[in-house]
Amino acid sequence: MNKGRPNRRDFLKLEAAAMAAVAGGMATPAGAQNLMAERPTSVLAWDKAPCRFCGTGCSVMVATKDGRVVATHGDIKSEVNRGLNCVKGYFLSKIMYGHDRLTQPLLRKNGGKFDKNGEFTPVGWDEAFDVMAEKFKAALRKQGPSGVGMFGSGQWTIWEGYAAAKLFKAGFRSNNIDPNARHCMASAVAGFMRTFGIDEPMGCYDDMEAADAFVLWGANMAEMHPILWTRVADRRLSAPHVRVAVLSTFEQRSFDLADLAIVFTPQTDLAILNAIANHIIKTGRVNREFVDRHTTFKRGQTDIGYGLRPEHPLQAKATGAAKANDATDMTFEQFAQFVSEYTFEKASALSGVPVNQLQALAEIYADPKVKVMSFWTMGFNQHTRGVWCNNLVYNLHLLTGKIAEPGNSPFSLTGQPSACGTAREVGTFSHRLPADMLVANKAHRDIAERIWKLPEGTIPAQPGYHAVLQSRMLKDGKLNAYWIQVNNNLQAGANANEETYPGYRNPENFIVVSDAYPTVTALAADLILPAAMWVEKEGAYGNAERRTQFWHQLVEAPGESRSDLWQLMEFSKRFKIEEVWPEDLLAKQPEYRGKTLYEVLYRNGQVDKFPLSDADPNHANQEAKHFGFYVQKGLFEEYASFGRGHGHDLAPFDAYHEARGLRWPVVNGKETRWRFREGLDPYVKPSEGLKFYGNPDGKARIFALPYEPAAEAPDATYPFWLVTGRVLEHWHSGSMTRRVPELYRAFPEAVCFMHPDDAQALKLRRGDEIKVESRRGYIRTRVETRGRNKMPRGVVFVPWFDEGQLINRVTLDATDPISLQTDFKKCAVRLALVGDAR
Amino acid sequence: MTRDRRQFIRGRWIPQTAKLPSPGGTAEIASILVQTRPERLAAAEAAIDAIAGAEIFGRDARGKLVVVLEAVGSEPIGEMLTRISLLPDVITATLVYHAIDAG
Repeated sequence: MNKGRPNRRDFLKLEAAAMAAVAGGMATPAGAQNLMAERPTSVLAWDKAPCRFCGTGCSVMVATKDGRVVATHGDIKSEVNRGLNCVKGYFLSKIMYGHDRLTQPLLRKNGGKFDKNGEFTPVGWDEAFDVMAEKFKAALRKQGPSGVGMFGSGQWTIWEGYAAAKLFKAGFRSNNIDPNARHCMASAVAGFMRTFGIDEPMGCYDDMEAADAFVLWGANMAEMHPILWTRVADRRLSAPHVRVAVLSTFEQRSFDLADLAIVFTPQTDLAILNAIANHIIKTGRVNREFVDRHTTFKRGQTDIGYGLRPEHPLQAKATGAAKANDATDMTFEQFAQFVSEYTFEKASALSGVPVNQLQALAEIYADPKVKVMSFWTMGFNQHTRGVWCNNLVYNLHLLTGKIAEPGNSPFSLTGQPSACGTAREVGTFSHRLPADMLVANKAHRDIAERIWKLPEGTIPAQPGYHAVLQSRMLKDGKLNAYWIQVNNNLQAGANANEETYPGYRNPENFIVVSDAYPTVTALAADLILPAAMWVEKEGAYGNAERRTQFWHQLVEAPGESRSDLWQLMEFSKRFKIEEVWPEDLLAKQPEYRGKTLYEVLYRNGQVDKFPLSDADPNHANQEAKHFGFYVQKGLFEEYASFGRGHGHDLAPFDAYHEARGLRWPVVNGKETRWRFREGLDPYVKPSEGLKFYGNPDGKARIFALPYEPAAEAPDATYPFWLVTGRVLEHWHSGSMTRRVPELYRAFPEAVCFMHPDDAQALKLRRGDEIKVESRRGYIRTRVETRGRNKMPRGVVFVPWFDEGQLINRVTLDATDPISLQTDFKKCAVRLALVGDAR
Repeated sequence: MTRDRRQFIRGRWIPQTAKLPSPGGTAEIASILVQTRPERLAAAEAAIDAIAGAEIFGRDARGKLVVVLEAVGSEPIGEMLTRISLLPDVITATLVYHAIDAG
């Protein structure tokens, strides 16, 4: 730093240092205070926006200059991240400016006409939508509503997901719409619904500062949820009595902070969870008053299969597959008897975890003086018994009454910015409607049809094709027109070789992909639509602690790219209601004759209720300007009417542009931090104390569920477990982060992490090129025996961000039979040196 | 941009453009907050000091460091940040401020 008047760079550095000091609760660095007073007139415009990466929901201040995002900093006013931002925040200024950003629609053409085997050719939006509408209409004529489908995302904004769900369920009358959250959160959703009858955590992030112990069940928060991990670390390091237990199938970065570090054999978390419940009961630490008043016991259906195609031998022999979600009543004594076989010795034999470690872990839950917060993400959710894992961890909190109060908190983390806000709350799943309602429930359909001003019987009662089934139905030629938005499913979906890719290239099908970049999915499609992203549009996300957050459009999208919302609504103009609804339905609402889907769904007097003049004059709003009304506000308010008064209350639209997010239910302008407890949750009446009001009897369910083996386990031919997952530098499939060149270089290609002794036994050296091969396919990659992930013997880890090494050509499309979520963490592989010259 | 099944199976799908540098090539500044165990503070400090472009602006005996990263044609900030995150004595390294300074 020079001694005279500070130059511009010094000023920036001191400003940056001062912000970090404030965020860390530290003294302002010397010199910074004086400098701040001399701050030059800023040419930057700063606005708030939630980060568009993981489900944590950090608020970020975003600076724009000359129509570009040029700087970001963690939002000090945000309760989530308190001025901090993880490495992914660093991508935010860059993700919109990759070289290969898509800026115009591209259609596969040959000789001037659409040809599935043609070359991608730039076309205008009109031509793109003309061809797309023709294909959708042909599919509707051929198969009926089940011939069209959509795969959406937990990265959709709230109104995008809502507009899409409405277009498919009400417009096309097809429930074949599912979000990629099916790969991510479906087991958590089913776990919540089975245990509590209402989705999403009862607690919130504030639990972290009140907890005495943290247990990570298969989650690697240090790399995947760094900001929350910072809060956990702060609590652990500032309060010496606090303990951190980390469970994983291999040693990863979160182990650095662990007081209790546990590596277990894949799938045996089920046995460990039951052994803890058994220990709580055997040592007399059940909170009987809580259990008697607030819970009932259920014996869950067993032998439920693996969600494979019906003709798969494993599926054919599963006796409980058809009734996987069933359960019968049982007593506490019967439950105690059920878990009694899960001794520490048995759990230890299955899991490979020493008895003393299991004991120490169990004591965290059993000790009534220890407030415990449990965290989990994909380790539990991407599991053929993922719903069971969710149910079993709730058992531990319910048996001890450690729930729904500050510090006692079973907490399901999320991986996408609006997995909760959009995918779950809006109900973009193939079986759901907004506010936890179900398509299979007549009363729920009636409510949706009334709010949407549609005739009775519009919404089909049969759940649609879920994510994995969509891929199978594409391959089988049953689903012929398919639209993918904000996700990269050819890279993300399991068993791409046998299911996903053949489905996309099936000559009977027309595949449309809306994306900002040419992902492998886009390149396998027939039509690519260029998408606006993040602050190129007005948006709203909902994070893992029920917090809904808004942002304004801050910059223009490049070229002809348009938001998913614009695409959905504009496309709906191409359909006359007579082309999609049968005569008997139309006869119930004859005033809709001659109208387009756009008019019926989005010009219904509700969605178009708020004029353009209501939008903030200081910010652009491409969609509102194009359609001539405040689209986002109209969609949000119509959507919010589903949940208000039913435990899912959202605040009025405008409140969210002011606040740093609000946690629902928001009643009388007040957010709710802890649900189900009197005094903290407005839905619990005076003197009720605690009420799990998601279930009609006001009680939570404790489930008896056994250990059952994985769909595929190592054997003599395929001797290794393959686990897939993420790395710090890249987010999901890398379609954004791999556009940031220095991050591309930091972790350019996926590798196969393995134990050095396993490598030696196979005569492999670090850096050797190998084939990782399963019964379904193989990839070529390189051996890594060092680095951040330390594998136990017999287990290998390959991240899935690298489109040059599509590990999902190797994985198995086994799913949890209840949640229908894929298990990406367990299949069997063998390893072999490529081009063995030795 | 044609991709066929053969390319798909062989994994030859990498868009070459992902390897190109960012347009602009402008200087960048970032500040980060580092957490360590208090007894490992000095070791972490030394390791960070050894990284060119990283400068320590504040320390707290409870185990916190304020670090400013500056990239001017040297190692990019993203790489420095990742490198610091993965240092043995660093528990977390979180970004606070990031600016692309066009000068």
